[in-house]
Amino acid sequence: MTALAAFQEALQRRVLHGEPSRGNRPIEADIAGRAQDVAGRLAIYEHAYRARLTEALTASYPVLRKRIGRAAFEALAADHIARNPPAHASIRWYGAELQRGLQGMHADLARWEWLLAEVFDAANGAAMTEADLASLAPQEWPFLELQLHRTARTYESTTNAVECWRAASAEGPPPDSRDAAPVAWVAWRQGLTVRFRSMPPQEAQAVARLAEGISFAELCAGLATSADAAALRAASLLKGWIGEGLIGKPGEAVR
Amino acid sequence: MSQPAAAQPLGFGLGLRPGHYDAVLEGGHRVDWFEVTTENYLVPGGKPLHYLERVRARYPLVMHGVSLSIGSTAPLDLGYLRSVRELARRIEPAGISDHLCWTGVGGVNLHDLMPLPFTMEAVAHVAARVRQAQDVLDCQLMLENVSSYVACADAEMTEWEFVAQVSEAADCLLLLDVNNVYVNSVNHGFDAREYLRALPVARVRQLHLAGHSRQGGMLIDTHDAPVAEAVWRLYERAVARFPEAATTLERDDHIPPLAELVAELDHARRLAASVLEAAA
Repeated sequence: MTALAAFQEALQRRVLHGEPSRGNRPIEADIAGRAQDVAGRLAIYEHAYRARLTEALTASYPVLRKRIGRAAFEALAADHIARNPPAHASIRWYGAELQRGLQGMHADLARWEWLLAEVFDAANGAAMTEADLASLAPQEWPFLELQLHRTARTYESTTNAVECWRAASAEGPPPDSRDAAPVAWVAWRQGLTVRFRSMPPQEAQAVARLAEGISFAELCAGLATSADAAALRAASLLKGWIGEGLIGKPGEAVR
Repeated sequence: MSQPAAAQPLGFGLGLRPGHYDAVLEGGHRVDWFEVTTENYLVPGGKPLHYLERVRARYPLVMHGVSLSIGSTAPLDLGYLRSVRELARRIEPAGISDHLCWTGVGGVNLHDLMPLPFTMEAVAHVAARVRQAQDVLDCQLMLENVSSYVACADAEMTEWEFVAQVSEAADCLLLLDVNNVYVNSVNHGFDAREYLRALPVARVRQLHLAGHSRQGGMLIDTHDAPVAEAVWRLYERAVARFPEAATTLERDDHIPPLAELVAELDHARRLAASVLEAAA
């Protein structure tokens, strides 16, 4: 190993582990100055590393932090940082797995906040409009390809996390955490605005299939009801989705 | 290889921050150009890119990265470089800059600007990587001197000799952060004026100004306060030595309203004008 590589590995080890590590060459040997001064100087890097990552987690999980309180959030962040050194070039992507250190409503809430952040800066894409359908001949309808909008993400809650998120965002009184029957959600972006809503089970199943891309005929077939009723139901769902900008423009590359 | 930063003097710029997007787009501010943090815009879409393109329609931009890790002994991240190149093609910046430092090894990004030892080995290592990065980006990079809190015991040269030697060996440009020079002069006990005198004038294309904080006997490059008086005095010397260099004011924390930063930038304009008038 070159001297430069050894220096970098030793300094990084010190920053990551926060104390001189046993069995490895200590970085102190490479730093000029008196031992006491060197410890203080190294501590600046150790502190800055943790402060910067904690700040990034705070930016990604503002409602979770508010919900569990500053001290608990900082303890959670410290534990996460100790186990998960960042790898991505942009600090924006640090903390995707934070929910693993949580349970119940708090884990749900963390997943929800990360999902909203993903929707916020997901790839732009045009949405299908009613005009795209106006030119379709009746015999072309079964082959109409349907794909969820590029920004759309789905999510299933088993607690009242979204209710808690809404209350915190509106500065309202915080509801008690509780488990709840599973609810399917879809979040997407219309222009620059992030939107979300819950979905009844039949629609959630259809939306899950849309994520893969299906034809209108397949959408109808997936609605477990009589053929005529399915076509009407599918047309009704599609009309609603198009009004909300939930379907991607035909021919756009998928995300 | 093109030299975008040399095309024409940029004047006086500010670091673009999301909280100022709407105020910037309202227009009417005495800001000649904006510096944007590259990584903030390496996202697929949405608001960041929406605003970036609108600001670009009105102002020249310089892309200022923090994750190139040009001094790391880990392999150069070509995926990252290609995404920087893609963004550059999209917004056609007046220059691309990053820092003369390393940010991690072994797949880790510490998201901090870590110090390099000032050795011949490091000069050769960094210069080779700068050339490689410049080939991918198809332009000359501007590298910024960083604040540091430790000094390598085995240094073979001073920091200013190191910066100058890297720039010559790599044939790259320099972004001289005046605050960082001052911070390091206090933290490591050297004469900041000697630092300025040692840098090759033709390579210094931009000057950075920012605030710092004090922690015991050390200065920390926090970018959370107005520029300190001692840094203004050093800036005057920097303008006298590098009269062609553009100026950027940065603030990353405790960010005030845009007008307040514009007023601080006006102060830089006035100081620079009086230095250049006196020299004429």
